[in-house]
Amino acid sequence: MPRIDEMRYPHPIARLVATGLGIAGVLLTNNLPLLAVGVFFGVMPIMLVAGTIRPFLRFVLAVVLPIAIALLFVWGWLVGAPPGVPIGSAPIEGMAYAGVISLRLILLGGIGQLCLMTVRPGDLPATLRSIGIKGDALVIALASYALVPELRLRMEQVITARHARGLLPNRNVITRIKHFPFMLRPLFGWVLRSALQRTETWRQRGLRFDTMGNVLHVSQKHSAMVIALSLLWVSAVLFTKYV
Amino acid sequence: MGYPQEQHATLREISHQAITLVDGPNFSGRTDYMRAAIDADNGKSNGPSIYIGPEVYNSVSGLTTSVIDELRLHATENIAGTSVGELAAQLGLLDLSERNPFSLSGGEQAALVMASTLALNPRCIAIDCALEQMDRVLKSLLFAWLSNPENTDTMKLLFADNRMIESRDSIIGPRISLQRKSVNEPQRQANILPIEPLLPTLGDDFNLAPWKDSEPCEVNVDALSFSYGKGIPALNNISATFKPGGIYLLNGRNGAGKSTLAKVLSGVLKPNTGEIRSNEIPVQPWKTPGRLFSYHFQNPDLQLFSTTVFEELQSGLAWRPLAASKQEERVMQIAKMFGLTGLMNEHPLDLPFVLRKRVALAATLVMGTPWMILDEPTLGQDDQSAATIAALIKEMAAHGTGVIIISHSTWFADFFDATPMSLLHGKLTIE
Repeated sequence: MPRIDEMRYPHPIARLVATGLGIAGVLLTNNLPLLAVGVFFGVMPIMLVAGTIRPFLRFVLAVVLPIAIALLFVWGWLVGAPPGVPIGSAPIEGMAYAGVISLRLILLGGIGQLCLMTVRPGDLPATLRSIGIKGDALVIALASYALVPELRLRMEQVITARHARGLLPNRNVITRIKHFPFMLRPLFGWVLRSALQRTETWRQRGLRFDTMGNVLHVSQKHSAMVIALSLLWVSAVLFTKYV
Repeated sequence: MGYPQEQHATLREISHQAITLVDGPNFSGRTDYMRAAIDADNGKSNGPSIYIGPEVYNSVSGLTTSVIDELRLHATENIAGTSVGELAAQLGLLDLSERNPFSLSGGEQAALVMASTLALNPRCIAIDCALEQMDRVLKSLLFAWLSNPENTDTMKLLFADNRMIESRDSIIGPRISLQRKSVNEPQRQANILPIEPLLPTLGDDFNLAPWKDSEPCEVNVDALSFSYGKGIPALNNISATFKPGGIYLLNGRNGAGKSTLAKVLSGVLKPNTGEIRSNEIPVQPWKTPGRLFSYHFQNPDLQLFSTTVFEELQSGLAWRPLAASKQEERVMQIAKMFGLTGLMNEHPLDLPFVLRKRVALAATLVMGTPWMILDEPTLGQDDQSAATIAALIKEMAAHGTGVIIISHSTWFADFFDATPMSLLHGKLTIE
């Protein structure tokens, strides 16, 4: 069994405070270089250390990049100026405006990912409980977290079953898209059934969500570090804004 | 629950520190008996009372995404170093710690459910045919742990298993025998579900292999390998010859790759390397699945996807150029064989486990392929039904249909003069 006490996490409250400060800083500033510093010297190094850089880069490439290109096109070329400035009078400022929005999106997404994705699934019950999510709300939150991987598995199983029955010629993307409507019915039925059956399982096991899974290993050093980093970020924002 | 009062006396007699066997055929009320025991016990003292049914995946919490987290969720303290932690290690769960509980094989899932249930330190556990998918080694390890009074000194254990014949000698404890008519519930159930007996024969008018591509054939497998992603090969350079009309019995520990081999042969998975030939002609089952081998899944709930039993059986014929009336005729013939004619408009997943397994078997047989792979075909079936299924398999083989059976039941295997094969670390040995 892995030594759980070797893992180090910021305390959930520290995590929440740092996230709040980080988001506040992003929303307060429109300083393009500072936002770029936040991305390249703030979020990305932490992502590298936390081992979540790949999903972050996927988010940047798949979500933010297309939006950024569209924004550059609109504000840099079509409008040719940032909002409140005569059209076509300041294309460079228009592009900078698009850059600010894009970097804000990257930072907000990155901070959100850092807040949520660095929690080990096993620590989720205790983490959520420590920030005040309890009882039924805790069960719903936990079930939602596990639902997506489970749905993905179940969908694979339906595909496998139809494939074995000779109804699918192969399992490539086009075939999956074509057969998607046939997947929905068994998936929907399965979700309802498993919800009912799980309710009984939880009830019978007396799943004591307020005491179970409470092996949460937090580190004061890591808590202090994330608070310090977020305070540094907000200070930099306030400094560039008002000084 | 419609349960006779006189039976409650027996519930109170269930002793601590012993495994109480609940014996009886399908529809004798074993499940109701065990559920009643759990309900009667729950909330009366410290510790939960837990029922684990044959669909073990329903006893997985659904709140975690890895085996280790499932164990941790159930433990109020770190189970490392505890006797349950040791049991989890013995059952091989720590080697699977990062796997999603729903991606495990049936036997591995049963082991996880047992370990996580025991981590709760329950007052009473009713194990209703939940361990049938476990291999004998895992089962004996589990029973050795359960039989140790140090581990279960305040725990009541109720145990039902259709493979009781194999377990009777190894489990010492009181026994409760139920007969088909001894409780009210099955009678009530029989009124709702018109269950008919399995027929031990295919019947004279039934054409087992009616298509041109379903004629008996020899299958050769050469140097077949498969691995999931970049992991350790699940199948490693497998070669075998399957003679037409042969019955082959595939053995192996839980997670050995038996189901993976079945999926590769049936075309659900594409092998990384190797060749499959039918009567010396190379074939690619992954391009034409369901033609050479049909595959009966171990877990019927993963095989069934239609909204009625009729649709479920018919789906295996959907791509055949066959008139609707002919399809219906074949479907009804098979439904009769499996005692399902009165259930054709039922949702397959609304049926009890024993019947869901029969629907899945019937849906496999309807395809009329020259080869069938039956993964634990007798799961949930009592002795009599298992013997009937064995008779059907033997008759199919006599007609030229080859059958590969995957089963942990040695009692069931003894029905056949089968060629034993075993799979270990991805290597296949044919004896």
